[in-house]
Amino acid sequence: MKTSEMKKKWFLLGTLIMFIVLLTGCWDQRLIKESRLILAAGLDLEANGKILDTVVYPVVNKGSNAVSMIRSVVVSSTGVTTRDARFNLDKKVSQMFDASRNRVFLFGEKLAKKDIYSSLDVIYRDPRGSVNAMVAVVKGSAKKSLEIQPQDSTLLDIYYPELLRSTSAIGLFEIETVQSICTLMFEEGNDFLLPYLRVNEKQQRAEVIGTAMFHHNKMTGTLTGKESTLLLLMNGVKQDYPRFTFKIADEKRVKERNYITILVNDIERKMKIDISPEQKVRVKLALEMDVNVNELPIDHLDSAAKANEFNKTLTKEMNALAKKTLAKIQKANCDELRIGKRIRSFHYADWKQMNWEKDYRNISIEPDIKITIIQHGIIN
Amino acid sequence: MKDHQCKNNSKPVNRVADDNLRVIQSILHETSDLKSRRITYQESAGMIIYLESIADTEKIQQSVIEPLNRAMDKAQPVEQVITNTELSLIEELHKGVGKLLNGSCLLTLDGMSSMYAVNVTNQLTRTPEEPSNEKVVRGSHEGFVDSLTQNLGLIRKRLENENLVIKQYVMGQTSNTKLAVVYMDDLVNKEVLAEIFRRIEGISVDMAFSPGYLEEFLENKTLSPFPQMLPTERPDRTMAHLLDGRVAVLSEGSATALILPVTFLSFFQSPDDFNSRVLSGSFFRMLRMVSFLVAMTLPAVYIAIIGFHFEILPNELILPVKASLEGIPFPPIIEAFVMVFTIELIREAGVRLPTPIGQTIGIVGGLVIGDAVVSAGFISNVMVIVIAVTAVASYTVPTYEMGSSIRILTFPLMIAASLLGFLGIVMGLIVILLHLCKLESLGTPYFSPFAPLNVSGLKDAVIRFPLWKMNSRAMDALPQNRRQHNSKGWKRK
Repeated sequence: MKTSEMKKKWFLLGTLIMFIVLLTGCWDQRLIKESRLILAAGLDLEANGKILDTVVYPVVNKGSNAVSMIRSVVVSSTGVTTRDARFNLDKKVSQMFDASRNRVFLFGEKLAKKDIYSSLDVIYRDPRGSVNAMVAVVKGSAKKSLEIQPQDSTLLDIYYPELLRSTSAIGLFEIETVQSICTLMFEEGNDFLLPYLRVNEKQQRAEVIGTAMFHHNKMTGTLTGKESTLLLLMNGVKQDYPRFTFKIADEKRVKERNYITILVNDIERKMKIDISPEQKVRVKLALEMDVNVNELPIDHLDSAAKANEFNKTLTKEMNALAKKTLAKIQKANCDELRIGKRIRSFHYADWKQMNWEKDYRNISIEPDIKITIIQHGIIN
Repeated sequence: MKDHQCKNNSKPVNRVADDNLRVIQSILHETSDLKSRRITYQESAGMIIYLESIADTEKIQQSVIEPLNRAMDKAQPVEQVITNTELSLIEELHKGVGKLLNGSCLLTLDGMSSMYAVNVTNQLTRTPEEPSNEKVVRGSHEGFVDSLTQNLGLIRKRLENENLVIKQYVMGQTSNTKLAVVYMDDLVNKEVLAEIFRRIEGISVDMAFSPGYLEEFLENKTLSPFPQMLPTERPDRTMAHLLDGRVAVLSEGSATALILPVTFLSFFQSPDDFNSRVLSGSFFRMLRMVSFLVAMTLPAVYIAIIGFHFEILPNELILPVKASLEGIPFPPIIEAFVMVFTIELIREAGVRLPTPIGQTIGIVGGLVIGDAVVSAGFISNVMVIVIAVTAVASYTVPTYEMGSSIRILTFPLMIAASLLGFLGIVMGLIVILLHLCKLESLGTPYFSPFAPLNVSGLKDAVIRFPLWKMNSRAMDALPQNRRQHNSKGWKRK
């Protein structure tokens, strides 16, 4: 008697579970083969204030003997917001768009100078948003940068991430993703740099020409490659291969003999912030670099005296470059060195007295760079 | 040993030898292999009755007829004359028939109200070969054979210990199969043992042809996908389990010993683990654990990924996967089912066929179908890889039973994955884990030493510790004696 009742109960439970699973109709399956995978996206600001959304997705053409060819397809559409533009795109393209695997976001310079947060907002809200996509700024229009056909890779969505990664390795910038810049856009006294690209239509390539400085959610200026490399070092970040080339002589005959190329091996940075009672901020930035001479046609590194002379020249050149760079970032109000953040953490009373938006431009940052040559390659 | 079950009311032995023969003939329905020979012993006529098919005529000649002839004139009782080791006096005809069926010959003499039964069983032996489904690289290459006495001998040979006890039963109302329960008296848990006896005595079947047949009658949950008893054909494995306080059940006519109670982990242990060095033994055991998980979940995980969560694929992998899936006419679940079904077909076909044809089937099935199905665009090549890896992984489990359980478990997980993605897999695994934790093998925890957690038991779980570190016995069989003696001895100061 009891067992039959139990059996009945189990049977009911089983049926109920089957009903829940089978009859709700909320089978939220999304098959990979029925999705258009967006792997790179570009955003531009049109003259009329609308957003131009350009996306790259791969299309697989299956041959007869299971060999498939993959190629990139570029489409673009406009809308009043990023999502609106994407909806308009969806109306033009077969299958559903899926941006969860997007690897690269390229912003046109015009849009970047206005506001990048509004365009990224949709990604932060989406649980499948591709927050680890890299972000970069393009000089001119982002649409053009997605229409090139570089020979390195037939797929733009492979070309751009690889380009950014390799350029980051030579010390131009740290790779920023949608996620990593999210908090920086709202933090006081902590700004960021994004890679700054230019399209070379003749060679059908994109090229990193430096970095774009940001203050909060707006782009406020640019740095050249050399400047951004040094700025990164002054910020205490050493990438794999930061290199510099300086002019050290003035010989007319063979111009190449005038230059030295160094590779930074090791750095030690110390930042000291002095705040006077009147909230005058003096930042002392001591940076010691151990470098490896990569290229020096005139040589003479075998003599210690000569090597010291090179050390001095390099130190002088580097300090001059540092001053120029610091003036630029202060002018752009881009606190990449996170001085404001330090003051906020360690001198909060003073911080409350200050208005960092204005005061940052007027603080004095004194770089003190020392360069020591420690290696000169395998020849003497 | 218990006697044959007697169904009819037994008749006493006649005083006339011819009458006895006639009654026995009628009991055995005039079977043709029943033979008899007239003899005369000390002036009384007599008869030797035996079953030709199981009695050894040589033995009858040597241990019955010759001694009787030699002692013809001496006034010696038959007990002193017959040189056979096993001689019993029988007073009821049905008991005599039972002996006859055991391989004894009956000696009946006129004027005696009882008969003698002499054991002259013909030992049909097979040499102890290595069992083909439990091969090892190093160590013993002996396996059980189909004779119960020989199997018990193989165990006795390995365990020269006075505590090794063998209890024999007869099971099967029609087949009268001999059954032996083997255990170490000082180790085995008496409650577990009593429960095994209770269950064996409680079983009533017509036929009991192998321990595998018995398994279903002994276990608690027949519908569980997990085997709750470990069948093995290896004497060394049986011995190791006996020394853990477990019980082995063997039967006549089968080369399989049934070990009980066992844990989930016993199915992943191989004698090879202990024959090889600690590091490699542990590595291979971990490999088997991983392959267990792979075999159970890989198709489900793949279905979940391509149907729900493809954003977890690494950047470099997403395009090849998408490219291989383009233009496949079936949803992933159907694709997987078709492939799994094909592989099971090839396996089933290969098992039944003789080896040379089996290989042909493997090649035709594996290579031709696998290759053609991809180039025809029915199944994506990633799916073929996934299912092939799953199949290979499921065969690394050292016991065949557990391997097939795993393959069956992939199906519900695949369905769950196609309905709910990873959520479905998690739910499916939770149910399986719950079941594993709840399962008992004869009152002992099946998922020990994980649940209930037994830290010292983990020394012989996923990895195997050096033998001299294992100073306590596995607790899952609840042995009487916890300590086991493993020490290097010479290392002590």
